[in-house]
Amino acid sequence: LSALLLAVLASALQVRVAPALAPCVLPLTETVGRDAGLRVTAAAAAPDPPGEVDVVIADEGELTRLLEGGRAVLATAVDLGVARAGIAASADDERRRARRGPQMAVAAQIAGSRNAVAARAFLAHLQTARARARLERCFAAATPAVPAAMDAYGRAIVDWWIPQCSLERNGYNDPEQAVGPPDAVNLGGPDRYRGLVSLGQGGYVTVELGEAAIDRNGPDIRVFQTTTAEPVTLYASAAADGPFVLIGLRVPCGQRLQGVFSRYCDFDLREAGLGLARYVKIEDGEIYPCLEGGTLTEGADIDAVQTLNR
Amino acid sequence: VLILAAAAAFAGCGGADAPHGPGPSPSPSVNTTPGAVVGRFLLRVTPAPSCNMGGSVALPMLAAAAGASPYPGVQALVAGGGDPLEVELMSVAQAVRGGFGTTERGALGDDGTRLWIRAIGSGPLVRSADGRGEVAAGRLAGYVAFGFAAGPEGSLGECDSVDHTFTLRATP
Repeated sequence: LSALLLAVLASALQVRVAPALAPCVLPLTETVGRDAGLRVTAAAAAPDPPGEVDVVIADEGELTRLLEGGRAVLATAVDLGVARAGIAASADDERRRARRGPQMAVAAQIAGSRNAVAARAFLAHLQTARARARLERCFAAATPAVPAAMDAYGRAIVDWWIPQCSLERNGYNDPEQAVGPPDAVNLGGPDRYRGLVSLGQGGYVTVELGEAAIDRNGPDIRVFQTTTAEPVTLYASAAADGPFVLIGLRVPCGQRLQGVFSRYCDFDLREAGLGLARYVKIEDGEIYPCLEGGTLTEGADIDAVQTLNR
Repeated sequence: VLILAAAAAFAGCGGADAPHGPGPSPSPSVNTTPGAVVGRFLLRVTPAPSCNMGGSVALPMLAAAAGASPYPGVQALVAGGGDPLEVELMSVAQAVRGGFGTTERGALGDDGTRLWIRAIGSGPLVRSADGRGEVAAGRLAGYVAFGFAAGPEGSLGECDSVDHTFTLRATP
């Protein structure tokens, strides 16, 4: 009855789906709308700017600015599974997606939607077992493999820099938050976090690892980054004063680990020909203009760094 | 005696042709220490040769000191407004390092080419003709894209590289 009432009262729910996800998601919106008793009009288009739509569905990397800036409601965001990088709208899109790697598909309500109640009902129905099964078949959802974890996290900050502009505008400027195991949490709503340091435009923290990382099979160092898939650049050295060698440049940092709020990205010392690293310099790879940011978490948001191979 | 004295005195005067002059006169000391990075500059961004994007894009910038802790900083913005290109640098030991960033709109260069950039730049400071600090040979690691003035991002090429270069030259 309530679904019927919603359908009568609300105008058609406007859903925008990122072109890369459209082959899987557009057919689903029709089914979900029917299940929820809602009139849904869905179209494939870039999610940002959202215009007059009520719900956006896209890779979390594409929703970074909407969610961080509060134009999409973080509290309503639901994960829809990991989309393969191969679903691309164009050659350019395919290149960008390949660079970012597989990402979580996310749906969220746009702030100020005139169909907020219907939007939330729609988002709830997206999470039903039936809807998720349909998406999984299309996405070939996969949980990233978790290398054997060892409790060797960053021990101390030996150097850092965040631009003055970012220090004045960001809300999370304490570099010490990058020390220790991942402990960042969202306290509810956009830009309300604890346990992370936002690097601002091109800032960095240099961390002494609790245990030196040794180059062995697979990734050797894991960085935990909190909001969406903001990219991270990593350099490593055997000494605190360097020289620091580039390990990975602007690596999207948005993979998920069950039970950990922050996302992560992995780095392999072998890619730079390094056999050992005791210090890592973690640098913002988002590099978004500070004065244009408009959030309290500009730049990559670093929660922790972990030695995977020692 | 007078003749000898006069001859000795004449010889002591030296001269351009004198085989044994009084030694080189002290040259004025040249100050090579770069001054502050403040005022008007021209930023030129050149993609790495491997990107095959050709050419470079230049934009007038206005730089000012920006903070002192934990390191002295410099902020440079496109002069005259327009779409933003923001440069946030730390300045230590006569070198600068930091982020070069545009929004999704990019920034229009002085030849009508639009530039998108998300890169970390670094380079030594040198003393400009008027004494200010400037960067004559900087490196950029990250993403650079060119496009037509009203075209989409990357319509004239885009590239990730650690071998892009930039200069930040003082202008009047």
